[in-house]
Amino acid sequence: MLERPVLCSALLVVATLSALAQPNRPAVSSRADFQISGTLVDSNTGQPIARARVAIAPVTERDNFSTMFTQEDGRFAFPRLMPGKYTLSAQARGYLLQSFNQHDQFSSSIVVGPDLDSANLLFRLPPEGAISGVVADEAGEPVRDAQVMLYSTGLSGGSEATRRRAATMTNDEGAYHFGHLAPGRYLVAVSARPWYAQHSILHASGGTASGDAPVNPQLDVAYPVTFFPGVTEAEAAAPLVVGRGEKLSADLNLQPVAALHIRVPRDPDAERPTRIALEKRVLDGPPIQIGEQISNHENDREIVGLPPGHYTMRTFPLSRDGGNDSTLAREIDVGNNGEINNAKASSYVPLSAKVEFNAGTSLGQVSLQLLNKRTREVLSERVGNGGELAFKQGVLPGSYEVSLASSSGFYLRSLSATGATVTGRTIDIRPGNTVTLAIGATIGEGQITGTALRLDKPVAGAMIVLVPADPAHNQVLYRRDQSDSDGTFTLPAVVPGRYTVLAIGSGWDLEWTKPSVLSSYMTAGVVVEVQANGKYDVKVPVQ
Amino acid sequence: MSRVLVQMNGRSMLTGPEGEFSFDSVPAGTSFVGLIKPGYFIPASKPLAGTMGHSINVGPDTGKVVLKLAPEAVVTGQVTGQDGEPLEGAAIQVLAYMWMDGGHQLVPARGAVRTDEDGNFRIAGLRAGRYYLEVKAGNVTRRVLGAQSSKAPTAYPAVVYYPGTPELAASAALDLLAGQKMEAEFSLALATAYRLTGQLVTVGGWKQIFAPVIVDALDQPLFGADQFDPTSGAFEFRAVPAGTYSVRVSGTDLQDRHNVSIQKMTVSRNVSDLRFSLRPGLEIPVAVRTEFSKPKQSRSCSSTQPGGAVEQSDCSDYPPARIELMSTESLRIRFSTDYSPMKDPAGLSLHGVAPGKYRVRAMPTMGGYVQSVRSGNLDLLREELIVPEDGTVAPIEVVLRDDTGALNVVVRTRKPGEKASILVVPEDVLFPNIASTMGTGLSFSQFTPGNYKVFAFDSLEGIDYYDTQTLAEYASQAARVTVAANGNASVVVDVIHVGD
Repeated sequence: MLERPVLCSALLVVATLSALAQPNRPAVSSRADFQISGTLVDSNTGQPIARARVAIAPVTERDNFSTMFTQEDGRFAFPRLMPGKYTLSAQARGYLLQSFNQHDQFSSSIVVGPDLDSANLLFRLPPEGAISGVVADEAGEPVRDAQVMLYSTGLSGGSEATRRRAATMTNDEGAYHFGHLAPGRYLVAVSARPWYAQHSILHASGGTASGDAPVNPQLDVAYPVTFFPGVTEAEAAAPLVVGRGEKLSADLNLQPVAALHIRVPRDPDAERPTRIALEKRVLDGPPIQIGEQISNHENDREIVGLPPGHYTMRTFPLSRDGGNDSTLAREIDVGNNGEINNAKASSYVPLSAKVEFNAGTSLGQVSLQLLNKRTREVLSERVGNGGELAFKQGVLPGSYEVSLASSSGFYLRSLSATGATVTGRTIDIRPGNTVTLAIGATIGEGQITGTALRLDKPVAGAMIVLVPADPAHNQVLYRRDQSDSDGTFTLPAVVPGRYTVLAIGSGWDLEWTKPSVLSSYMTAGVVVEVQANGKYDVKVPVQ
Repeated sequence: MSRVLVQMNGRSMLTGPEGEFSFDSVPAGTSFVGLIKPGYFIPASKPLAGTMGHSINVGPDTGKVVLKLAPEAVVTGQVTGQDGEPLEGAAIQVLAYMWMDGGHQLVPARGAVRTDEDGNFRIAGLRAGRYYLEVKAGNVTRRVLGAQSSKAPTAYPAVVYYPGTPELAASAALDLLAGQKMEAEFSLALATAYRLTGQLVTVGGWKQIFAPVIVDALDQPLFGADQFDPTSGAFEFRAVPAGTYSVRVSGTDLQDRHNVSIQKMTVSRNVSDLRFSLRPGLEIPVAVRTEFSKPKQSRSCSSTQPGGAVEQSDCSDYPPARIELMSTESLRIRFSTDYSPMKDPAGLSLHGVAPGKYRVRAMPTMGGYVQSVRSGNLDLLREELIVPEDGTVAPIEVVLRDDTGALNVVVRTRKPGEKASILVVPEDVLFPNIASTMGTGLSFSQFTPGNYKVFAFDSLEGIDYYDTQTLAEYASQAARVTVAANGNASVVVDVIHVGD
């Protein structure tokens, strides 16, 4: 689901005297009489944090910082401020950089002004964790230049998913380090080549012995992608649970397996020379390249140095200006030495689209986005000048939600497709077809503002969720915000339709993208019918 | 040493626990044995060049051969910033001099590494030799809360050389021995940083314009533009500390050619009216004249057309020379003529040459030697070519000839059987092609005419012979010879004992 950029909500510590009791007080004061102050503490131990940078900036001028350092007592103070809303953030060694009361990418800004208490704030900073380790080979020697990848697994941003967070290379001691980690569950995967591996062409075409000496089988080996604690199946990977501020150690040993050879005969119909690469998507993350291509005299290719497994075989044109050519890609399973006839077959389905805009000459930047319902990956392609676009690499068969991302407020109003079945905004793509989409786009996103209340009192810090009708098929229409201290919130860029607004007091750990999780809250939610360009204000009870 | 990969005659094996290895059926004569082990090198004197193995003579009586490997050197250290706080994310790079493209260039010896949370760094994989260490921390403050505040931005210095100077000339070299572990500390202070805005003005049509980048002396990025609008050319650098910088300005023209130029700038306060210009490069015609007197060798050239068809010819439609312009300001900027079948192979062109200073190299593609390369009155074999911002450059004229001469070198040794390392060094040219061998003499039947200095060293250990300064020290002990066209030259040279 698309997340909107950071929205700040204001924190207002309600003063005991309400404004109504002081009719002579001027409505707005313009003297720099106010302050933001408080104590910065470790969210685990409650102890004050010294030598931290604390910074405030007006929300209207986010890079106009005033900064100070805390002493041993962890206190911070920014005196002589004009009334207004300010962001408050802190950074310290060993702690994650955070804004005040931060949840996901939402946080609270501080409202400063008469009768508002912005002093004595308690700012809790979570300590950051780390995972480091040493990668060693079968002889116990360090493996240098191994690619190490870190994945977070579990609930994040409202859904259960495994996402790649970082990647690094081991140094000469085989050591790697991932720092600045938020608490959570992590997986570590390693991809490397044995430094002594020697591969040469196994399949001599025509059956005659090649001039090269036979390959030493002891050296024709490869390391499979290995997961901590040292397994090669992703399901057996052991999660590393980083509690607040924990520094975990995760060492791995790599074991070689016989490397496989895949021969790809030259395609006599190919118009131009091509190069082949085998990629592997580890834990459904970004692909990494495995193995190398060797060519023999007749321009047959052989991919060597392959551990067994599932790969995407991509064919790239070698021409100098072949940048715009689409590449062929197909999924293959490699279990033995073999031959793959690469011509034509591609697992990836070509997809192109034409977008008709009903208004406006200045489109700004518009992109078509496809949310893969299974992997939750979002594919994005810019809409060209004539409203045309194509996903050059093709897309994998599957179920996708289609939406537009636009800075000018365009949204998808109609969708039809050839080569794929359409249900609402979801398309189902089967292998083998070519898919063309026809999309109608219109301008006029709406906006919903409102107040979150419990027994008529405003509630700060509640999670506000905008749930679309038919949520299972419209994940891209969800919107979220965190309520201000005066209980107010804003849900921008709302695609016209029917919605339910929910306010959940401690909703930040819910798997809210799953419709069943929110169903019990729906009856007490507020229903809004959003028309094009409509602006609505609602009062929502906090559950 | 155990587990070393030994390669010989196309076969490979790993050494056993005592470092033992054996190959059967090795042909008699000289063979090359390659040795590979992470963290080790074949001992060599130059930090960047180096061989992968040893040449050994194999005969029926060859007994056990002992080969040696030298361990890598490692540089570790810490970078601290304001108030002694460890600095994370600073880029550390080890540099060394290498002869390249007609000059002694400083190049990275290894890839850059970044300091970790504790400000520590570690660079391994270094051969013994002389290195320079630099830290680039100008961008570190982007990750420091509030440091790049628009009110009073601060930044760390863009480049600092060990032990702590912004000038390479004042930096201390690290002379590393094999296996040495050296520690190097950097202590950096925050300085006022300035906001620079301006416009990239384009002249002519461009397919794509890239944001200007502030680069270091090696044309590696220091600061990227924080804002850039390709349509208007407006750019902004938010926090650049005071100093003199090079700015890389580049774009792709309508013929899909990449045009890059380096422009200089000094920063000492906020500036709001900077102007950089991206202009279509100059088109420099190149005329190649061949004055061949000897009968042409028959040749065959083939090229693959876009449709897949292969065309054969006798090569007369190919240019007889390839001309390359190499920028003296950046290793990454160079322009060269095409090498493909042409209607008029003698009339070449260099396209889109950006303003700057260049060294010109001409390479014959079909025999012969380069007798002269001129642009107007400029002798490009010996001088640099300056391409102005406004104006033109006289066409480059290249003359190729094949009237080579013969050269015979005899070494006058002190002891019988003594072998020397013989160098024949062309005098006074930008791209000397140095002929070298080891023996008691050298004989060429087809040698490029010209003036030469001939050296005979008893050992080349520690001599970087492409370094003109090194050779200048021994110039008085060299012999001089002139090879005339179609001539026959002979020279006797004394052995230089480097140790003396």
